[in-house]
Amino acid sequence: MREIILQTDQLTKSYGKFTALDHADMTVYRGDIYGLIGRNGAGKTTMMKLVARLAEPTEGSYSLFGKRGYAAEKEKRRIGSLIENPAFFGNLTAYQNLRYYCFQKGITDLKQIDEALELVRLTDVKNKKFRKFSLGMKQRLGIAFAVLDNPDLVILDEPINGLDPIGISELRDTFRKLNQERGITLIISSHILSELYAVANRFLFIDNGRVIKEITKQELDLECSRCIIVKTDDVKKTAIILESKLNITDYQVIDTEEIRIYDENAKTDELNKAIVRGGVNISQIYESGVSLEDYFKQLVREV
Amino acid sequence: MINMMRADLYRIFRGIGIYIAAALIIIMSSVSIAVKEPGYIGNGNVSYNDEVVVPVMQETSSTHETLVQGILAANINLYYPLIIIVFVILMTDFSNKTMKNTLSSAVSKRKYFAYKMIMSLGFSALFIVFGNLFTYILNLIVHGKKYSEPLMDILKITMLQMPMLLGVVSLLVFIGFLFKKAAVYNAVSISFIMLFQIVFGFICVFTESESLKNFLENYELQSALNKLAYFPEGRYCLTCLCIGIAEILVFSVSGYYIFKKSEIK
Repeated sequence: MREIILQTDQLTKSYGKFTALDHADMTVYRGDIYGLIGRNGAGKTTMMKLVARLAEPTEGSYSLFGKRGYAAEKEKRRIGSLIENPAFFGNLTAYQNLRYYCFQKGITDLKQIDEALELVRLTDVKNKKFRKFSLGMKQRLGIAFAVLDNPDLVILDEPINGLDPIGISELRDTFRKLNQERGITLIISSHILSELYAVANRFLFIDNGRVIKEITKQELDLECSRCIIVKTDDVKKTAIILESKLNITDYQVIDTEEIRIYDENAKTDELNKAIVRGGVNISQIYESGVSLEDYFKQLVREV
Repeated sequence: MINMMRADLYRIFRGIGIYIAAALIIIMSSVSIAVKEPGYIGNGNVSYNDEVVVPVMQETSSTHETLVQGILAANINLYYPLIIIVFVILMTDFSNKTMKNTLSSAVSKRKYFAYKMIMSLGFSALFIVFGNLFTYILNLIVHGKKYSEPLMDILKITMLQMPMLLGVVSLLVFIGFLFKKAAVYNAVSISFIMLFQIVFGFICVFTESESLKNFLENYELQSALNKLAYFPEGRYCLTCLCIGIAEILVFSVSGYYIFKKSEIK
């Protein structure tokens, strides 16, 4: 059985009448690259802030490395994080900023600074002052800070913000490298599902402060797999035809006009004939795979 | 906590804030020694001939005022360098938003608060000692022993004034944690000393309670620092010590309570 690194239990955060996070449960196992997906304001950052103890939960609790409460607080040193915007001292250079945190964390092996800077490709500008950094460089320094001292868990909030496409691709490789070579567990949030899909192995969909779904990559692949989309004027009757005439049960009614059939053996022409013979008009029928974005939209709509 | 202190010392001496605070103390002392006249900030001069001070003066062992003693009596002037010191130690974290890095991966809010309070008090104490000793030494260089009390008396004055000044430092730390924004901290702390004295003045004018009036007049910061420079009686010193300790305790507990409840942005 895999070790649970982080588990939240009905974690809730309210600001007056507004609930930013509503009884959220999530489980992160050792070795995961855990993707936190949601729209802006969905509650991703709140979740991360609560776990990093930057905010106190209104309700609920969580365990960190199997420990709760005050004991979990002590495990903080095993976490590296970049939450919201990267923040460093503007008058210090990249190297000096990381040196500051080495002092703070009691890190004596200063090679780790160079390794962290090398990892995010900031070695060339390590003597440049933080205030002169571009947004992308700041973001990368934030990641260097998060991985300093090889933490067991790294929490990154929207780490690709401000990065160019090449930077994003490089960062993806960095995440994989950290996960595979150093065995670091990562929690990464983003509102861009395709970016997270490229690196994460488990996902948590969140919207309006509520957890919609926790899913593995295999399950997500399955849910986004090939399907036949039928647009008709009577989805109810179509569903009856699918089940009674074609013995198809693996389908989903999307709305009043659309039905999706996931049965691997279903064929478009046979479906077409059967539905029309059953007296239902078909406006469109075609094969499709559900895109990640569509899948997410669909999930959000279901809430 | 030692790690945090090492980190902060590494950072503090790479910024200019601490040097500005030191320069301010040096300039204020130098000007006073050069013109042989202690200068005051705040809402007016408090002379040892002031009627408020006279009753205390009569009970002191000192029978004359020296220039250095007068400058030390004007140690309300240290209020502004102390604002800078607290800014450098605490508010830099707020203004750069670096606090979240520390709190998310290094220490708890309790340790962070305790460290910042202790560091601010410790650093301020060093600066107060530095300021007083600098005044003494500079006077020695410029005027010889003519205008100064002996070194032991200077150190004694420093120790007598210390609790009241550190009480003010704890108030500044409290203001920092309360407002969490560098600009608001600056605005509030800079105007506070004037506001504080105006409020005291109003209370003294309008109150009918003589005991309250006397207490406020005797233990208001500027008056107290002034009196403490002239070795008042032991009971007065003890009350000032208690006020200083009470301020530190009250502002530490209330500051931590506020900080504990707040969300780090």
